Amino acid sequence: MPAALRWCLSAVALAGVAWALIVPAWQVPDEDAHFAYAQTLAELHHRPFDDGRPAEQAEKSSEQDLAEQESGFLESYQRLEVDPSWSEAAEARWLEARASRRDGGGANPARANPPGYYLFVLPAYWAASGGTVLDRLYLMRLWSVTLALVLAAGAWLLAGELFGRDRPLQLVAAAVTGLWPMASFLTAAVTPDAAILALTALWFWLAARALRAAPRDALAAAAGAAARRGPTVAALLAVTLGALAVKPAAAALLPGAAWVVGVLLWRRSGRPAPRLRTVTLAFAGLAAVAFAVVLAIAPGPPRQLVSYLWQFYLPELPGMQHVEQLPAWPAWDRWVEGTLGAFGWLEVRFPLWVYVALAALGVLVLVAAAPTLRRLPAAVAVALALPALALLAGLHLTEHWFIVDEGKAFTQGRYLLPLLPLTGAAVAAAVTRHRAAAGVVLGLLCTWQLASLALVIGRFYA
Amino acid sequence: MRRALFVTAALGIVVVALAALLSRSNPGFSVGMPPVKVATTLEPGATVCRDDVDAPVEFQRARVYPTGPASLTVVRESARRVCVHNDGTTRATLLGAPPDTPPDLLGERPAQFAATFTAGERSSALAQLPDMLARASLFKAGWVSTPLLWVLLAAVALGLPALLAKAAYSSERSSSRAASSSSVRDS
Repeated sequence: MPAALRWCLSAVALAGVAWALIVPAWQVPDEDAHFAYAQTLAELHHRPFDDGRPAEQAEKSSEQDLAEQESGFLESYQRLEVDPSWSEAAEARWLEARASRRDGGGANPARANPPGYYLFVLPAYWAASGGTVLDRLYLMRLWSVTLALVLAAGAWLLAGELFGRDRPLQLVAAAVTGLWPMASFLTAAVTPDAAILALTALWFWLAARALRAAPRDALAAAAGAAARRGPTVAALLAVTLGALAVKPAAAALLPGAAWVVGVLLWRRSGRPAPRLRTVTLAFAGLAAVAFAVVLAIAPGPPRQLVSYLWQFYLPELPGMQHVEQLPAWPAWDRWVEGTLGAFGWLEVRFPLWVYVALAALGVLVLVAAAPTLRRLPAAVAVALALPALALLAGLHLTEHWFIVDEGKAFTQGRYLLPLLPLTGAAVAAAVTRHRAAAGVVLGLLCTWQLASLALVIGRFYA
Repeated sequence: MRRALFVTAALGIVVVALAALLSRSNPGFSVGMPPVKVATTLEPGATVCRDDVDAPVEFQRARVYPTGPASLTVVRESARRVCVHNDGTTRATLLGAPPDTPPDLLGERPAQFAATFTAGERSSALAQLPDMLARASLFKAGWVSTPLLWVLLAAVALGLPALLAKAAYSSERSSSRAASSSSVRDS
C-alpha cells in the first residue's frame, strides 16, 4: 500500500473513531431502527417482520427501549431544545436495571432493507454480547468505521484511474471523500448508508477501470483490452449485487453497470465508436422514454409530479398546487445543507453563512476542475454520471410517491453522499494546475472536521 | 503543500477556538420540551410536582412555561423532584410535552410540565468543555471515559493535520521519484 494512502487512511480512521465515540447513542438518522434490525438477526436469527404486535412494543427489544428512555434519547432526538441525559444517577440506575434483548423483532422502519449490512456488523455485536446494549452499539460503530477506509481507498483508486498515478491528486481525492464530515458521521454509525458509501466508491473505481480508454486509432487494441476486462467487470457486477444486498437504493447503479457492459461488448466486436451526435441522440431518446414511463407509473396526475419537481428547485408559480411537505428552499436544504453538514437527526446545523461559504467554494472547485474533467473519455464520464442521475431520479420519484401516498417528504442530503468519490475526484481535478492549493484543501478538511465535531459536542453536551 | 496545510489547519484551529471562546451561554438542561401541550392547570395555592427530573445537581435555577402571566414558585425538593406552586390569585396553565416520547407521538400522550434548569453564570463554550466531555462519557460503552474523549479531541485537532502532512510528504516524494525515474529513462 502506498505510504501516502496509509497515512491518509490513518487520518480517516482517527476521525471515524472520534465521531463514533462522541455522538450519543442512536443520534444518527434511523440508527435506532438499524440497531434493532441487527439485534433481531443476532438474537432471534430472523429479519424483523410485522408479527401483529403494535410497532411501539415490537420494533425494539425492551433492553433497547430502556436504554433509549434512560439516556434521554427519546426526549431529545430531533429536538434542539432538549439535551440527552447528563445524569450520572440516571446512568447508574440504567446499569442496574435488566431487560430482555430477545423481545423485539417486530415491525421496524428498516425492515424493508436487505440484510447485507446488518450481517456485516453482527461480529461486533457478538464480540460485545457480554456487555450492555451500549457496549454492543459502540463496538458496532467502530467496526463500521472500517467502511470509511474502503470509501477513502475507493476514491484514491478512482482518482488513479482518472488522472494516472499522481499521488498528490489521489491523496486529495481520498482525503476529501474520507474526511468529509457527513461521511465520517455516517460511517461511524450503525447504518447501511456506511456500506453503500463504501461499495459505491469501489463501483466508481471499477467502472472507470473497466472503461479505461484504448487508443482511438487502434481498434484492435481496444477490442483486446475490452476482452481482458473480464475480471474487472465481474468485480463490478459483484459490487453492484453487494450494494443491492444492502439497500434497494443501490438500484441506481444498474444503468451504469449496463452501460459499462454495453460499451465493452461494443468495443470487443471491433466496431468503431459511434459518433458523439448518435450517442447524444440515443441518450435523449432514452431519457424521454424513461420520463414517459415515470409519468405513467407515478401516483397522481402527471401535472402533480411536474409541479413537485418544479417546486423542489424553483420558486412556486401562481396556480401551482403547493407542496406543503417541502421546506422553504428544498434544493438548498437537502442538497446543500444536507450534504455539507446536517448532524444528529438532521437538526444539528451550522449557521447559514458557513453553507454559503462552502457552496461558493464548491462553485470555484467546479470552475477550476472543468478543463481537466472535460478531458475524461466520454465512456467513462457517462459511466460515472449515470448512477448520479439515476440516484437523483429515484429519490425524486420516491419522494413524490411518499407525498402523494403518505403525505410526508422523503429525501435527505445524506442520500446523495454515495456520490462523494466524484466530489473528491472533482476537487483533485481542480488542484491539478494549482498544486499548492492541495495543501489548503487538506488544511480546510482538518478545520471542517474539528468544527463539525465541536458543533455536535455543543449540541448534545452544552 | 505541507506548509499550506499546516498554515490553513492552524488558522482553522484558532478560528474554532475563538468561536468557542466567544460563544457564551448559561449551561442549561430541560425536560418536558417542547412546551406545546397543556400539561396541567394549577388553581391558586395548588402545587404540582415531577418526580422524574434528572437534572445534574449543579443547576440551581429552574423555570417553567405558563401560558400567560402567573405568579409561580419552582422548588427542587430533591435530586429528582421538582414542584411548582401557584402563589397567585388566578388559575395558571403550564405547558409541556409527554415524557419519553418521540416527536411523532407528542400529540397522542398526556403531557407533563416543561422545566429548564440553568446555572448562575454565563460562561464560554471553551470554559464549559471539561463539563461537556464529562457529560459525553455518560451512556456510552463501558470503556469510554472522559480522559479518552480528551485524547480523541486533541488527536483530531493536532493529529489530523500531522497525519495528512505525512501523507502529503509521502505523496510528493513518490511523485518526485516517479518524475526523476522518467527523466532518467528519457535521457
